[in-house]
Amino acid sequence: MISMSEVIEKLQNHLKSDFGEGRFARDRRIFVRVGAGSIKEAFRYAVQEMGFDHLGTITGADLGADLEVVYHLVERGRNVLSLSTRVPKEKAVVPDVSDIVPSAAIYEREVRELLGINFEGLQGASLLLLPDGWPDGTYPLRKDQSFGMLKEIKLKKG
Amino acid sequence: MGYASTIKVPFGPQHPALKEPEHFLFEVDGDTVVNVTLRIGYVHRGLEKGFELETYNHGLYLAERVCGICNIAHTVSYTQVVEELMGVQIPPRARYIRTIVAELERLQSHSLWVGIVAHEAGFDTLFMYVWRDREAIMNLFEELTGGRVLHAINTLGGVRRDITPEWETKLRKGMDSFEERTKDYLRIVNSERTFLKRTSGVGLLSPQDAVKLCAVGPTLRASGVKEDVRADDPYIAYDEIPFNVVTSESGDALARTVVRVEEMMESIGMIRYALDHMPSGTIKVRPPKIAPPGEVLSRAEAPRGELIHFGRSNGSAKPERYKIRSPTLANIPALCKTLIGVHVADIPIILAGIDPCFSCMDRMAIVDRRTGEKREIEK
Amino acid sequence: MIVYDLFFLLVFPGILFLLCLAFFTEWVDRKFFARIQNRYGPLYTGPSGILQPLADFVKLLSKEDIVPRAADRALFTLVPIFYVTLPLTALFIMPIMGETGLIAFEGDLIFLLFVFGLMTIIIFLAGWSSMSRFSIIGGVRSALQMLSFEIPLGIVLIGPAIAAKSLSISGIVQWQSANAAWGLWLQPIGFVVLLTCLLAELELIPFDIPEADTEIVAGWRTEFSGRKLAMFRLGRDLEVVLCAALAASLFLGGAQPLWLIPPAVVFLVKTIAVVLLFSFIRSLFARFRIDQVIAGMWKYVLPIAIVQIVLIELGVGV
Repeated sequence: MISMSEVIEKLQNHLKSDFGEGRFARDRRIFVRVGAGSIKEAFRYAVQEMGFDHLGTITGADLGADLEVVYHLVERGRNVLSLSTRVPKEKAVVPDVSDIVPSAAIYEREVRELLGINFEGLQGASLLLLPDGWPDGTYPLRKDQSFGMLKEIKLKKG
Repeated sequence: MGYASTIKVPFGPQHPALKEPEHFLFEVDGDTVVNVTLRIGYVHRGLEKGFELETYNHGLYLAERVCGICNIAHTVSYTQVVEELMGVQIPPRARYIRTIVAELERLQSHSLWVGIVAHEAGFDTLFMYVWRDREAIMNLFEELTGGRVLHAINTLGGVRRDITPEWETKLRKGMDSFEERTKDYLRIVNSERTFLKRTSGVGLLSPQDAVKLCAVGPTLRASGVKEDVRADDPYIAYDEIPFNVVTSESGDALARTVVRVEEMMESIGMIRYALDHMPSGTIKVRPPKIAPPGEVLSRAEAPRGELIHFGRSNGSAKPERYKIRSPTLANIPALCKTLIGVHVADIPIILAGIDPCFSCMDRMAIVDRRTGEKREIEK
Repeated sequence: MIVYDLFFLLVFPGILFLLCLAFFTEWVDRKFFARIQNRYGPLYTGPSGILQPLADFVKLLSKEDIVPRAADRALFTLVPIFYVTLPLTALFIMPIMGETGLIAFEGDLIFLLFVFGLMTIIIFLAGWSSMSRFSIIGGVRSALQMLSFEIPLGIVLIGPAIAAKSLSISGIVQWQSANAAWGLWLQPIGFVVLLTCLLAELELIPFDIPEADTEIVAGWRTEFSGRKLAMFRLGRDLEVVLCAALAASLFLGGAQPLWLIPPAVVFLVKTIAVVLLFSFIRSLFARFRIDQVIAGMWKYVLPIAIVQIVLIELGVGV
């Protein structure tokens, strides 16, 4: 059973460069940020070799200039690791991880529809949450979309 | 035009088997399901964006209205996130009251579910009996909190109302009679032949699949995986109250029923223990208006499974980002797996098996005008 | 006399009486079913809610009658009419007033079997003509269910006929009254099998798969509304009366005079008793799946029915 600081250390050693920062604010909660290039490897390492094999959810966030993706991984019965990475808005591409954890697909689709992050390799281009005819390029959860603007959306017909 | 060998049977968005709208499209060959595609988002209300618009206090109202049946789990999670962001410690008595109310909610939710599954199986008599007994819990809730369904008892910094000795007596009596009835339901569910025929061996989910597809809650525990957020990641008063994590080995609809009924028995025990060991003191502290920058992830065991709230603050009075992942969404991949290869008649029972709460599942805002146009969508 | 005949045909024990009886049995069933489930059942319309079925019927008559665009109009309109008239016609052969039915002839038992078969075909056509996914599945399930209970039903109905040496229901009733014996204790196995098959015929729980509302909305009845639905509900009540009367006549002695009590009253009591039995069984069980019904019927019910016939041939219960 490894401690939280050991978790951070192991990830850091495994990724060497591209490791952003790691910290924990309280018991059983670890927050680690890595660079976008190694997020998939960090994810794979955490899931397959460190025992964080339960994917809680995937959060997307709009940070202004960047978009962030946070993978919440649970080590069954113990710690929760929130693994995050940032990508610029103009080139918001993150690798798809559903080949490692199948249920990632449903969370990735939600983030893709609502924030516009492109998950490279994700199957299925169809909409999950948004209604048919939703205009492309309008991502409701981005900060530049206000409720007023969303109210005015007219769905495409046909 | 060729002769189609499979029929596409739509389940939803309006369907008597679904209490809330979602769209499942089943491809059926004869009486067997060969494929399932899914479309969600019919009760999307824009809550995650809504959190960003108003203060943390306002967010409490939003969090409560994510779901009617598991509203306490959501408010517990929410208050935990915000209280941790603000660095607020709630008094011990408040933690115990929250635990009692959360377990009462579990009782109410599970008994609702037993009724639903009985109804889906055509066993209306059990459905009527269980819901009649559930009324006792609703009345208890109304006396304590003022509301039968939405309770609004959790507030930032503690709880809003205290437990009076009169209510405690009523609660104890209520628990005694409810325990008698629950023992009866356990017996019925395990021995009624026609019910067994409809649920035994139906909707099998192996432990390996359950773990691989990240299922949560009773669905996971019915496949034999011993995981429960209350035991693994204790919150409110769960680290001080002993209880058993109920599992079952069979992984079918019957197992899910039995697990939930036995969890009801455990909840009754937990409520009694909490009442016996209730600390005295205040029930509320005053939280600050502003939360310093930070991010907090809170997990709770809602009646349907693991509930995740993730909040981030930027030092102002409004949240920067708030994310909710409810258990029903986590169970959807497992659900789709169990639906392949079953009879059409088993679909409602399997759907009910994960205890779907679709209003929990779609939370994000789309305030839009729907055209009402629906088409076949591939996954 | 023509006047008497018309009276019998139209009023008692004819159409008017039968319709009232249909509504009455629906009320009995709903009230009993509700009481077992700790509910009130119909309460407000009329004393103790006794007018509720009539109220429902009248309300449905006034509702909008929607015909789906893809439906086969002719069939769609004809099916409800047949669904009412078939059981009504079959009820004329039941002995109600006395030990002879209004219409009695040798072989009217076979005629009844034929009517049962026709009813299932009508149900299948109802589902088919609606051209809706749910209706078609419901109609198919109904037909499948008939395939499973038809044969045991036929076998078990012949039992009393063999004993009474008559293929007329009136003849069987007369034989029971003449020998002061009821089919119930002469052929108890047959009675149990008959009840099972009648439950399947009436599509009551545990055999209500064709209209399982939690799976396929309302099955073959999904697309019907307004007057057509009113006809279906009425036809269903008449069918319940028909099946209950059949069980009462063949196994419980039917309309026999009992001391000073007129046979009609005796008939009523026995029929209502069977209806209560149906309701009771309805409240006890969950719903079977169609493959379980077919398997169960062929693997268990049919052999038991055959055992009953063998017993009769050996002289037991004659």
